[in-house]
Amino acid sequence: MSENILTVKDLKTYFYTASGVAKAVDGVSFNIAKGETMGIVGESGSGKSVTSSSIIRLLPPRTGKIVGGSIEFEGKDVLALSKKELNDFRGKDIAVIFQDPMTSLDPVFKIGKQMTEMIMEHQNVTKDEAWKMAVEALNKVGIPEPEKRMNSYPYELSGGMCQRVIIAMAVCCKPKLIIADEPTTALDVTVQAQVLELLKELQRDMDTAILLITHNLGVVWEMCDKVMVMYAGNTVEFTDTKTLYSNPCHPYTWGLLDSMPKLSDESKGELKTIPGTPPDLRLTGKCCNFYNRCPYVTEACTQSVPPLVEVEPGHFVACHRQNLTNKLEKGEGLKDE
Amino acid sequence: MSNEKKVLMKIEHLTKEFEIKSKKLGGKPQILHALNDVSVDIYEGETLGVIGESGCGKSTFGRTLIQLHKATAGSVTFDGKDLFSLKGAELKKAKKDVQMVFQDPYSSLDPRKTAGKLIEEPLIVHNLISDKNEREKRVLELMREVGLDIQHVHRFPHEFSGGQRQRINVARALSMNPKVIVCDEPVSALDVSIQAQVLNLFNRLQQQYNLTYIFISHDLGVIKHVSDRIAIMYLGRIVELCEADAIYENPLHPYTKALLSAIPPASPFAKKERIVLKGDIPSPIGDQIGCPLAGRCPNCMEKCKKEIPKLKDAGDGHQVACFLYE
Repeated sequence: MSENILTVKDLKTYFYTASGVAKAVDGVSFNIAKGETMGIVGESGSGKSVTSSSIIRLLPPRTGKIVGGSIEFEGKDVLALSKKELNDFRGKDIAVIFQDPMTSLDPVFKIGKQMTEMIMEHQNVTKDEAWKMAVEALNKVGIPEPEKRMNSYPYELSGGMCQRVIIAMAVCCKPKLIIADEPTTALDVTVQAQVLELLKELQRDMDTAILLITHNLGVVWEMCDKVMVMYAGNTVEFTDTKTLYSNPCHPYTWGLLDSMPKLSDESKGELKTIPGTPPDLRLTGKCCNFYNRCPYVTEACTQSVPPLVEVEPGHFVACHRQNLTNKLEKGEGLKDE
Repeated sequence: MSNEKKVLMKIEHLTKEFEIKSKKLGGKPQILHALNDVSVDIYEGETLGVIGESGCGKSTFGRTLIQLHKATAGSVTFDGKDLFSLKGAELKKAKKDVQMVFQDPYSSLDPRKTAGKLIEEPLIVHNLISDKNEREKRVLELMREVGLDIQHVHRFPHEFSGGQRQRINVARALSMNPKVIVCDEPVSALDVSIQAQVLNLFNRLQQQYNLTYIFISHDLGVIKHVSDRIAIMYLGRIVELCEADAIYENPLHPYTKALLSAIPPASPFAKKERIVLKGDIPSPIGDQIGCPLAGRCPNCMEKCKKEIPKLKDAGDGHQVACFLYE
């Protein structure tokens, strides 16, 4: 595997609210190599999006703070960048595609104006050159009649088209890493298929790394080389995609895989569920966050936070019952209901 | 198989058009065809899954059925009565039998009422239980039925999670002892682990009360899990209607094939051929000429551009609206 371009170590991002400190991200570590696609999956509130906003330092001022850990991008310490360096870093090194295509474009400016503004901000080009680059980018992402579209307002385009415009903006400056935060959640399946194909194609052409945040495991199976499962601000499992599918180790991952309705299922019976709901993020951090929903819970789980352990090469799991000497099998010791 | 079952609801030629006012003063209004000639029988105790992309009219279908929209043409016969011709007390009585669960559990509950009051409301409106104590007893019974903690009866909607709120919605619908529940994307706003809990609840209630569901969703995995029969909609029309298994094993309509191939794979080892439809869904505004899929269909013929194919039986009750199968 080639060198890592992004290394995140033990990242902690807390939100200081009136009702207490919410530990949105509480110890997340991962790395992405050049040209690789990594996925982050988890339920809402598990800290997926906060992780990505932390990487590009787009946290809400005052309330959100990175309190621990390090983020390194090609040897640069991202957390130490000045405002000016940050401006260069965002866009040129890392580009972000947000979830809702309709709200990430400014509704009162034409597409062309928004794109050229962005290009001129990051590259030393004239307005005409920027315009040409924008048209070229739109063409690349498969928008018909790009010249005409440059003079459209965002509301005149469909959701899929808007997402293409955003992707065009993201690739304009040839970033080394694209963070795609739920890029297809707001789109229909057929449009989602188009957008995913487009991302794959661009990645092949430009050798960009992609950090894909999603709650759809199907998208992960299709796109990602490796994947991190998050729960209540923690990394619970981190490995390559195929291992996660064939040999998942964390009880939460088991629950997640089981609770998805599958097309191949013959039976119309009960879906397996994870009982209960995710914990309040203001109260986490003293024990395993999953203990109250976990069927395999033991005494140790309620007493300390499980560390992230490498159970086999490249396969990290954070579970008290899952380590090198002591391997827990799925279904072990459970009472039949 | 389906012949033996009793037809509970007969939907015939249901059409809904919305008028869009012209931007110009005195200009002619344009017509948006949200539903076009939709006919389907719903059998007692079955789940009919309705699937399609956004804008295909699946929500309008659900809303027109319970008369939140007034249908432009067509009829719905329920238990031998024409629903659209009923008035006053009779209409109120009929509406009791067909209930709805909406998509967004955040906006479909009044934020100023407690869970108990919300579930009690339909019982008061329809005057089902006039005794206050009896009513409160029934509310608690319903809460237990849908898996809510009865200690939470005095909580407000914002104190519940999405899944619990959807349970309140289900309890409200259930309080009427309905025969049919129209579920408009009831789980799409929920996380997978919570989604599975709510789907199991729907399943259990159906068996317990012999409910009939019309289940609207855009998630093929969910639809496959809950449905007996599936209707695929495209641009206000049903393009394919068949048993749930048949649609995955033997899809006929080109749109269905494309839709199925667009689903992300079930495992990282599966590699599948993908049929990517070009372009977007055409606008439903204005008159339609030819098959609605004609511009995007890989098998488009000359005939498709001129005529609209009708939903026809292609054997075994598998209905499809495509000239390829005529």
